[in-house]
Amino acid sequence: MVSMAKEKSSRMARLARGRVWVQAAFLLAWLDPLMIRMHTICGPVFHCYSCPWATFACPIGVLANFSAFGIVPFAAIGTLLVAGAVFGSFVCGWACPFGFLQDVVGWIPTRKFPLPAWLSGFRYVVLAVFVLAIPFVWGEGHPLFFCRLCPAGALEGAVPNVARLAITGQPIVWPTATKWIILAVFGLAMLFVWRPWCTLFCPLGAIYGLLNHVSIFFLRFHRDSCRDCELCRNLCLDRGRPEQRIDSMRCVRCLACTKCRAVTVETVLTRLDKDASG
Amino acid sequence: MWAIIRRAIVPAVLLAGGLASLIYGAIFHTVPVVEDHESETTIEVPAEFSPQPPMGENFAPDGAPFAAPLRMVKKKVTRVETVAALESEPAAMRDASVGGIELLESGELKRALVSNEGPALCPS
Repeated sequence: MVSMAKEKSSRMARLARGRVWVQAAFLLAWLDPLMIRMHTICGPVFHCYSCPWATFACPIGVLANFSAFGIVPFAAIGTLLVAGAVFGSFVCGWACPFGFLQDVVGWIPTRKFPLPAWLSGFRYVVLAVFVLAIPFVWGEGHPLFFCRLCPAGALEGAVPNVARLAITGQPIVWPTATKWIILAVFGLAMLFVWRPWCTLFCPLGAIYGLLNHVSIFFLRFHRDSCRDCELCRNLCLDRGRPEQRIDSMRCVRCLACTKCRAVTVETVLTRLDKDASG
Repeated sequence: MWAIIRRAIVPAVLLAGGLASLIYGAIFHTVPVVEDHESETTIEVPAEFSPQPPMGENFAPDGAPFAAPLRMVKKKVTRVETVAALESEPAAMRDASVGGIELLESGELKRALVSNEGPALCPS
């Protein structure tokens, strides 16, 4: 069993090394390379549909707008449930373009400060208050309507549109100062905190994080393979504790910890041995 | 075997529920949206200027005042009618992405922009 775990782990570690290429391939898919806007379909990732190069609709934008209209967005909920039930937060670590951007900025060698795990609970406040409650009660005109504050919307929607208006010589409609400030703060935070948006605020990550515990694919920590070397803890980009909180709600399943042979990716159909936990 | 079934049952239920929700939303769910329809029709209206009968002809032979016949002309007018339509959820999703739907104070949804093109500006 130990040798099987070791073999699986090394396979996953090889896969993890190619994560950046998978993220780049997904980015290309989200950026509408064929210029066929399919905004009638909800995508599974956080990518603003006001972006001139957005292939699909943003699920959080759909939830917020439909909440303002008082309509249940069945298609968006279905998309999130399907993606979450199969992959959980693999979507965040491997497919999300805004997560990829944060990863890329995070490569700049600055000191990264770890955040306490409990802070990620704020994502559920963002989901409940800014995405669902405020739009439902006050509509999309409210200044705290989620899309008005979203840094992804500022970067992917507002900035390209301002540039387009400037290039074509049309009168420029500037985004609000709040949007610029939020974008600047997150741009700066990306240098010092690993994936600050995902860790603290992302409502989509909150949904996938909840589904981590019940998704078909999951991470497993093999206690019988552990040598207490703390390798998994050191490998974790989020400075989490894989040996204690493997596959936590905050984990984006980047698979960096699978370089340690005690961590593997399994499916619910895998037969687990009695000694293992996770 | 039972352990695997127990582990798989929650993801399977979520997956089935998600697929059902996705199919229902994409195919069957509709949203009532009102929109202004412009239609052009031809109506008859009185002519703006009716020439008076010449002097001395103001009276009919029996002495009664002469009533000039009302001259009607045909005129094309544009009528704006508010009609309610059912829009599919995917179409509503697309319209929301371009700020093409607005919520009226009455609680109804109204199409604000009829366009199949991409967003011109961030709706927020």
